[in-house]
Amino acid sequence: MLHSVIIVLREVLEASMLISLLLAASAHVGITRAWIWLALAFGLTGAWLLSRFGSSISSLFDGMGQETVNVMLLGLVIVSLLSNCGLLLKHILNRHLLKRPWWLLWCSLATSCALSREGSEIFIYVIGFMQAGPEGHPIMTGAAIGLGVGTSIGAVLYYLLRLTPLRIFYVVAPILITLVAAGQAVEAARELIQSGWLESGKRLWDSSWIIAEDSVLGQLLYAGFGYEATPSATQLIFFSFTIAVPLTLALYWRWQAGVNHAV
Amino acid sequence: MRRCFAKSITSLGVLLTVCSGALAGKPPEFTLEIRDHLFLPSELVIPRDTKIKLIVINSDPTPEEFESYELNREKVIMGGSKGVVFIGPLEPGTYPFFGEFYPKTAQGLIRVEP
Repeated sequence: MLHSVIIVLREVLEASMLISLLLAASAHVGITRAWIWLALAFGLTGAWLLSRFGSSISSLFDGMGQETVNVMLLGLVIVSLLSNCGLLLKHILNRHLLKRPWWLLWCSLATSCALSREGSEIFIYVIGFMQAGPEGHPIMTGAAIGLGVGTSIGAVLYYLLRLTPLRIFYVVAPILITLVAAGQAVEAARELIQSGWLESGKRLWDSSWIIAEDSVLGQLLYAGFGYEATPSATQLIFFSFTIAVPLTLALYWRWQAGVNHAV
Repeated sequence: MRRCFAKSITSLGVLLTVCSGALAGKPPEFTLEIRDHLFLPSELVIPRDTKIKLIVINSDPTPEEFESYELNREKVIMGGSKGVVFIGPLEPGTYPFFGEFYPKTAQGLIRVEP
């Protein structure tokens, strides 16, 4: 049972940390948080469809259907998060009015896609055990506990971010959103490597003696920012590129704000 | 200027050769079966510095997730179906893997020959 708690918790954490961050950011910039209901509906429907048709999806594209779908979903999450981060940075650095419809779109899209991917794995796991009969009951209990703990951690994170003073939040939020996007990029790289579309490159280091991937901290860092104890070169490239986008934008807008100020 | 151009043409040539070499050589295939929540065989020996194609056949009716922290791999394989996972190139050593849904029994190891 303990094991099923951890499996479900891992998947739930990834989605709940992302959702908490976007909800807190919406609240701080004074935009409605109602998008979450639409995103939850879309995400859970997506997750159910992906698990329901899991076998058929897997057999698509020479047995690489699962990877194709995952990479597309991860790509959408990355684009949405980076766009959100861009809107937020422009708002902070250039005092640019936040574009409300775009903000709502990117929040909903990131959440729906992340939920579809994470949720489908939970559904596949739980439904598999439901078919196993009475021996699956402890697994159900474990899954429910995992879901409860995962959402609770998300809620704590949300209230922590809500209580953060705006000045500090404006520094922390773009960094966190960027790191979450970079974590998704690391996962996308793994999907592309394991399906044979990309070469993995060299294994760069082994930090499992500092933070093991199966430790509590390792799991948290994996869920939040895609931590790998033994990353490959390709994964590091994906991570770096994702971080470079908002960093470049921030530097440019900062410089632009400075020029305008001087004029 | 001309030398610089020649140099870049040469490096492009090298790059293309390397890429086509990688494309031409089909990676060797290995097969792993999941039966009664066990991996068969539970130990797989693969050559060093070689990318391999691992075919995982799930003969159980329940889904399983092939997972390894050491290999950075995770893939759900639905009941009664098969999945492909590319692995490597790897340095010599041992790389454990497990079935995330039934980790008590589904344990295995990839050994890379020196």
